[in-house]
Amino acid sequence: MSVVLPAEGFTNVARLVTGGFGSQLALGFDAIDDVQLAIEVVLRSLPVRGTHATLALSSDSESLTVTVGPFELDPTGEPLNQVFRDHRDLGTYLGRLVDSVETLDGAWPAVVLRKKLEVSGV
Amino acid sequence: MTSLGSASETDRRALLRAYRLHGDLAARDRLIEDMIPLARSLARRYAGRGEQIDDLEQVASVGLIKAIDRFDLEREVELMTYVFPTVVGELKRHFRDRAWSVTVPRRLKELHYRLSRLLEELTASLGRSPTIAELAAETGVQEEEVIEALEVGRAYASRSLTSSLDSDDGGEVELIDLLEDEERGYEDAENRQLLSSGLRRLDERERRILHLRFAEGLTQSQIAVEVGLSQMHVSRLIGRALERLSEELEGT
Repeated sequence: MSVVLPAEGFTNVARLVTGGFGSQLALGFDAIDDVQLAIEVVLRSLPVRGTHATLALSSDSESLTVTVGPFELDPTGEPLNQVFRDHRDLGTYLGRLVDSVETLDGAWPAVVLRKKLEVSGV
Repeated sequence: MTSLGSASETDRRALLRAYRLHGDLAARDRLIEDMIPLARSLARRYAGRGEQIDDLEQVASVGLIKAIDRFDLEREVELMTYVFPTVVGELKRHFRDRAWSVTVPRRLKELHYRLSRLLEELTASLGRSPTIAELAAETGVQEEEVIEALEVGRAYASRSLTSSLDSDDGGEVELIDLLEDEERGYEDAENRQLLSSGLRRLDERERRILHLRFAEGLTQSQIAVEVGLSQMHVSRLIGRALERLSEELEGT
């Protein structure tokens, strides 16, 4: 599923949608909160290209995948993965909140966050 | 008149010395036991302001333990005179952290408080973080309501970075004043990385929580136990701290 959100002021909606999606996957509160925080960090740290951001959520048997974008590239054309290298804190925090962080460059620069589905025991 | 245990100031000093100088944890426990009526009494003064008395007593206990752990034995003042403002400071900070910044329906606030407690109970009993479905089943509401109530915790007010807070001796200090001592504790390379730029602007507790989460890799529930706050409160503090760090990143 995907949701298109205004670039400013709608991170709570992103959190709610993610909470609902995570609930369907029987993720624990900790895990859901981590993914919500990671999305917040990405949305707050990187400039969205245009007026709206797209939040796409999907899952398979192993993980929840969240793709957020598109982001504005640096005026010099610096790719997103370079932005992550320049701001090591960003990668450090995201890396603790989710299991993997990737950047998509090209026509639709985005960040892809993956969280492994934990066994909840239910 | 505030009630205290049977120990005299001399007894309390002796217990404190046994704990601080010889690591006697039993002495520390006796000291806490002796002074807990004071902490509870102070907590009750803040009752009726929308917080559960159990939560307030827990906050006051944290303040008491902080006072016992931090009191300078060389100071020519009674332990009581140090405990009192420290506990009150902890209670005030609790209210400042938990002030609702937007109007939230009472139903959701109440559900939020119930979930906050349930989250800890279920985490302890299940040995893992509960799912939304489990929280919904326990509270008898729909999963959507649980998600909504969990989210309203974000409506708590954030404290300004430039604001001051109560110091342990009852005075006020700027947040920036608290940074130097804490930094000495961070030594390894990863911590130095985490201490860059924005982290220096957070208060002691926020930096400790971020350190536990991101440098030591503790889960929110583990951090909650470590720092004596509810898991939801920890979640909110992490979110707030990361928000500030993101703002800092934007400015670089």
